[in-house]
Amino acid sequence: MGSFLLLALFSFILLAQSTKWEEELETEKPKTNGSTTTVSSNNKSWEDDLEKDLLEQEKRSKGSEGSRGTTSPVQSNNQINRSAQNLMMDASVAIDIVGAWDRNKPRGTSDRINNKLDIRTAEFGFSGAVDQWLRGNFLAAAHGEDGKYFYEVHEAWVQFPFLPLNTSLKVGQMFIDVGRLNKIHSHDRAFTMTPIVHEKFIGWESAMDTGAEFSILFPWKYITQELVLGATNGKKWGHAHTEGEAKNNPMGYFHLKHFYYFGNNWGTQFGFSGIRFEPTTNRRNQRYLYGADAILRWNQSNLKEIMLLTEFWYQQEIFPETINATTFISQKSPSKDQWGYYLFADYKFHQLWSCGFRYDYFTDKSLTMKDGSPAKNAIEAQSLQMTFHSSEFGKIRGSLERRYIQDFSKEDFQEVREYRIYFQTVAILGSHPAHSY
Amino acid sequence: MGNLKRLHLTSRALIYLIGFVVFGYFPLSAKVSLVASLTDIRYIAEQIAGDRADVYGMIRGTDDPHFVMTRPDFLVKLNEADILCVIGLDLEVGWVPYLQQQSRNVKIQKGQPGYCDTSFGVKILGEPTVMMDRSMGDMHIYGNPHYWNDPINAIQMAQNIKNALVRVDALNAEYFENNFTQFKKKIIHVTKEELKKMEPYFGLKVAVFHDQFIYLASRFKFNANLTIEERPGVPPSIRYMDQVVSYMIAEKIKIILIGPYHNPKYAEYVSSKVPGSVVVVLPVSVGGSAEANTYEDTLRLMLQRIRDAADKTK
Repeated sequence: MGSFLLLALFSFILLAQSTKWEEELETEKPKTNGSTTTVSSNNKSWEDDLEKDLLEQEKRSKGSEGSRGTTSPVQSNNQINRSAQNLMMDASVAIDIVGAWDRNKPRGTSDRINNKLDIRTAEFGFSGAVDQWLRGNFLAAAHGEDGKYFYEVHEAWVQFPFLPLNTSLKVGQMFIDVGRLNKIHSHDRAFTMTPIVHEKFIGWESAMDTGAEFSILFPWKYITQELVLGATNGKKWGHAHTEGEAKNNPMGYFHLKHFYYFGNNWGTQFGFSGIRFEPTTNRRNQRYLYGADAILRWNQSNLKEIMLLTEFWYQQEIFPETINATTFISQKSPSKDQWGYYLFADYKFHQLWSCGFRYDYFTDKSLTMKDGSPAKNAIEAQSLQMTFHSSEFGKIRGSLERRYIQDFSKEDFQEVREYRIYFQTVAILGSHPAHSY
Repeated sequence: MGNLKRLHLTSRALIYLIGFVVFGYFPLSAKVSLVASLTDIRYIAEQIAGDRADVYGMIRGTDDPHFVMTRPDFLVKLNEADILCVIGLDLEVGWVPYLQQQSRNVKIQKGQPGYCDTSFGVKILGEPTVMMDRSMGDMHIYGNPHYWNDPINAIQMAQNIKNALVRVDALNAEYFENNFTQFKKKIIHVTKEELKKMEPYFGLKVAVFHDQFIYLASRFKFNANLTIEERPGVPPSIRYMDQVVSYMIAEKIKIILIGPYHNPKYAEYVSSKVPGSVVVVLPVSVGGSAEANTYEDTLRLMLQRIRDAADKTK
C-alpha cells in the first residue's frame, strides 16, 4: 500500500513537472507571435527605425570626435584582431613543387632537370613595420639540389620607405632590382622554368647580394618613372652556397622603370637595366649586362587578363690584356659577347584558367670554329602552358617545351632537339604580400 | 674678416639654394589633395571638400574593388596625397597596403592624420561567427566591407572624411562642417524618400551573386542572404547552384542581384532554372552604370531596379 502511495506521489510530481514545461512551451507561442507582429509593425514604423539609427550614428560620431580612427574611444564589439594573430607582421610559407622530364635525359643540357617530381623551393617569410621609420623583410628558402635540401637566406633587408624627395633606401641582402623577373620569386613567376637568357646570365634563381639599393620616384604627371641605383658586395653572382670571393670593387647596377596607363584598363611598364660586375678577383675582368624589359597588361578584375612580357639581355665580358710571350707586347683579349631574349604571352580566359606561350632565344657571339671564324650557335625554345589558378594562393601548371640547341663550335652534338614536360604546383600559406605591377 | 664675410655669404647662398630646391620641389599649395580608393568615397569627399581640395579616385565604378592591379601611377598620386581614404575591413587588402607602403608618403600611413578609414564608427554586419580559414574562400575577417550601400553608413563615411579634412586643413573646418551638414540632410531626405517607395516591398526575398547587398537590404528591409557564390571569390559549382535553384523555387525567390563587374553567367544559369526569375545588374558604386553619377542617383537606381524586378516577377 505504502509503495503504491509512493508511486502515485512520484507520478503526480512528474505530471506536475510536465504540465509546467508544457505550460511554459505554450506561453512561448504567443511570445513568438508577438515578435512577428513586432517585426511587421517595425516594418511599418521605418521612420522610427531611421530616427533611432541616425541618433545612434550621431552618438558614435560624437564619441569618436577628434579620433584618428585607429583606436575606438567608445566601447566597440571585440573584433578578431589580425595583429594579435600573427604578432604584428605578415608571415607566409610558399611551397613550389616542380616535376621536370626531359626525353633526352641524361644527355639533356639542363642540370635542373632530373626527371622527377621535387620540391624546388619551400620558402618562408616575414615582413612588417619595424617601427615608424623602418620596414623589414626576411625570406628564407630550402631548395632541393641532388636530393639534398639547402637552406639559405634569400632576402633579409631593412627599408627606409619615407626618405625626403620621394626616395627610399633598402639595405641588406636582396633580390636586386634589375630587369623584370629578378625581383620575382620563382613560385610567383608566370611560367615554371626560368627563361634561357636569364638562366645563362643570372642563374635559374634570381641574382641576390648584400648591399644597398636607392630608389627615387619622379613626380611626372603623364608617365610614372622610377630610378633604382644599387651597389652590393659583388662577391658572388647568381645561385651560390658560398660567400664568394672578395672583389676589388662592388657590383653596381641601375634600373630605370616607366609606367603608362591608357585606354580601358591597359597598362605598360618598361625599363632599362645595367649591371657592372667583376667575376674574378682581377679588376680588369669585367662583366657588363645591359637589359630592357617590358610588360603590357589588360585585365577585367580577376576574370580576364592579357599579358605580354619580354626581356632582352646583352652581356659583354672583358678580360685582362695578355702579354705576348715572344714580343712582350700587351694584347687586348677578345671580349665574350652573348645575348638573348624571351617573349611571353598569357591569356587568362576564365577566373580559374589561363594559357600561355613563350619563345626563348640565346646566342653566344664569341664562339668560334677551329679556323677562328665565328661559329653559328643558338638555343631556341618554344613552350606552351596551361595554368589552373585555384585561388590567389594556389596554382597548378603544366608546360610542354621544345628546345633546339645548335652549336657548331663543338665537334659532336652540333644540333640537339629536346622535348621537356614540366608540372608545377604552388601553394601559399599565410599572408602573402601583394605583387608589384 | 674677409674670410668670415665670404663664409657668411656662402652659407646664405646655400640656405637660399636649399630653400629654392625644397619649395620648388614641394609647391606651396593651399588645396588639400585627397586620394580615394573607391568612387563612392570620391563622390562623398567631393561633396564635403567642395573646392578646397583636389579629390582623386583610384578605380572606376565598374571595377571590382577586391581585385585591382597595383598600378605604379597610383604611387605618384599617393605620393602627393595629404589624405588617403579607404573602405577598410580588408576590402582593398590586395592592393592599397602595397601602394601605401611604396608611396614614400608618411602622411597617409595608418595612424597618421592623413589616413582615413571610412569604416570607422560604422555598424558592421556579417562579422564572422566561426574561426575561418581559406577553404571558406575570400572571407573578410573584420566583417562585410560593402557597407557604403547603406545611406546611413554614407553619413558616417562623410563624417570620417570630414574629420580627416579638418585634421589636415583645420582652417577650413567650418566650410567642411557646413558641407557635411548639407550632405547629411540630402542623404536623410533621399533615404526617407526611398524607404517610403520601398514600403510595399518590405520583406521581399532576393538572391545575390556575391554577399554584397546585406547593408542595402538591412536598411531597406528586404532579404538578400541567399548567395549564388558557394564561397566568396570562388566560382560556384553546378551542384551548389542546383541547391540554390531548389531553394529559390521553394521560397519563391525570383530576383538575382549582381554587381557590374561579376561574371553574369552563373546568375544566368540559376535564373534559367528558376521559372520567371530575372537577373538584375545593380551599379553598386558611383559610376557603376552610365546613369549612376552621384551617390544618391546610384541608390535610387538600385532600389528602382529592385522594385521593377519585383513588379515584373509578381
